[in-house]
Amino acid sequence: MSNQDHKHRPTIGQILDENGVGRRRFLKYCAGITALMAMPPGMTAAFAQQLRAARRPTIIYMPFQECTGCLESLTRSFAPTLESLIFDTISLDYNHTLQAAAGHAAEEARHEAMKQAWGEYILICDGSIPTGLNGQYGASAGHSFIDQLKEAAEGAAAIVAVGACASFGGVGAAYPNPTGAVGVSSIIKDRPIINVPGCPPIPEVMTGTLVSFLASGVPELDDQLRPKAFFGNTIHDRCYRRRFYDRGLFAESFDDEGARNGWCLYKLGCRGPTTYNACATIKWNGGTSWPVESGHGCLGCSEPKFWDQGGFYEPVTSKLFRDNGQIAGAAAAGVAVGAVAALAARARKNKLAGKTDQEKSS
Amino acid sequence: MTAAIPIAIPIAVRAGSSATSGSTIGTGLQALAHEIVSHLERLQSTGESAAIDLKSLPMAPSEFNELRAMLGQGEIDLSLELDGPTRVRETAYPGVWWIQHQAENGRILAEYIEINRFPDFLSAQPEHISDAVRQLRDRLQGAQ
Repeated sequence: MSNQDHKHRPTIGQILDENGVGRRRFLKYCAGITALMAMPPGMTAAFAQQLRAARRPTIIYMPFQECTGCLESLTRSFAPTLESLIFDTISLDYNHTLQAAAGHAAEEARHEAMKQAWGEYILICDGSIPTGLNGQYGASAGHSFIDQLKEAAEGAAAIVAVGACASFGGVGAAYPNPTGAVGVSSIIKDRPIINVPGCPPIPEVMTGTLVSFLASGVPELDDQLRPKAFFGNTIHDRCYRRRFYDRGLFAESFDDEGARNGWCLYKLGCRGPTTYNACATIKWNGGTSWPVESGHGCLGCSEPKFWDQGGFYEPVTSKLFRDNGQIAGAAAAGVAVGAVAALAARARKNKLAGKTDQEKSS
Repeated sequence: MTAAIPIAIPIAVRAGSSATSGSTIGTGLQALAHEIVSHLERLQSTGESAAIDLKSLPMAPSEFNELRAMLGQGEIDLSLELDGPTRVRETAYPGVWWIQHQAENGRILAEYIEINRFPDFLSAQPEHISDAVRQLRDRLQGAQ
């Protein structure tokens, strides 16, 4: 099939009609997607019309310096499922973890798929790209990850960087970043890039971003290149425990009365106030729960350099006090209640440190 | 094109049952109630519909139940089987619909309140009607 033939691929609507998928079934599917994307429910019909008109795209999925956690998450998407995406909507032409082919056969398949859909395919990247030693820390099929990324990016209509690593470098880039790991956007500058960060990202956010791209192209992005539909609000803004924060009711430890009453986890290090993601509304494991609902604070895994933002159990404003030593830091952050909580936590920490020193000297 | 699969649509029409008439609305739901009233007024004056996505609201399960109780049940309670159940309920307030789409495993895909004369989801869309015109014309021509 030539590139010209690729442009004559059937539309998603044609595929659905051939498979007897009724229009209301499809409309319901789209209602789920538009709800995920925080689009007004009234937009569902228009979204469905756009998606029906889209052509079945080619997807090239390139893993780099990664742990496969993002792919594990993606394959657990409940709606839309990866299966339904693969068979009904997209054509996953290369993913060396999922595909049967290996070695030279796999690489040939990738190059053939890229050639057929040159300029049209969606490139999904997973994992950071090590730049140290001229890229020698990461290589596959005789080529460095940097070269593989540049080659695959050249013919891509858009690149979706899934996970904190592909988006911002992630754990690979954590201090002292021995491999010089970076995210895709640090290397590729001439292609549309959509970051879908998280460690891992919410599966429905990954699949929802892909479907959204099919229907209407690159979605509106924030300054970190994340789709605003999913990353437009902080965890804190959408948290059901927010009312306790507003009333100054905090859990002080994981087993105190506040924790049992479901009070705000800010003092226990929750990074909800500074983290943009959709966990509070989409939740995890098919909508079963999410970290805060399970009693643990948000780790901020969809933010750049989240591994290097201080201890996971310090209030988010602690580092401002560490840097400036003044309440002005908290005022700048706009969280007066948080300032008090952070000072209290710091005092508690100092007290504990003092106690430890005393124990050492005795 | 494969023929569409027939869909069984059990519709229950019954007397409205709102237990909320005259009762006090909790402060947590007041903002939402005001929003619904505002949309209803607009629907009344201009015919413009609106919808409120319930999944995007940070509500505790108890508040969700309170909202459900506040809006009550109207005459229509419609269930469809479309890769999982879909339920369209008219609330005790005509023009305010509660719509829930579930997946086959019971997971809620979408849940929203629609303020409209009739839910958009049930209406035939313009492209559906265009297809219907074409198909029926083709059939009539074939019959001549």
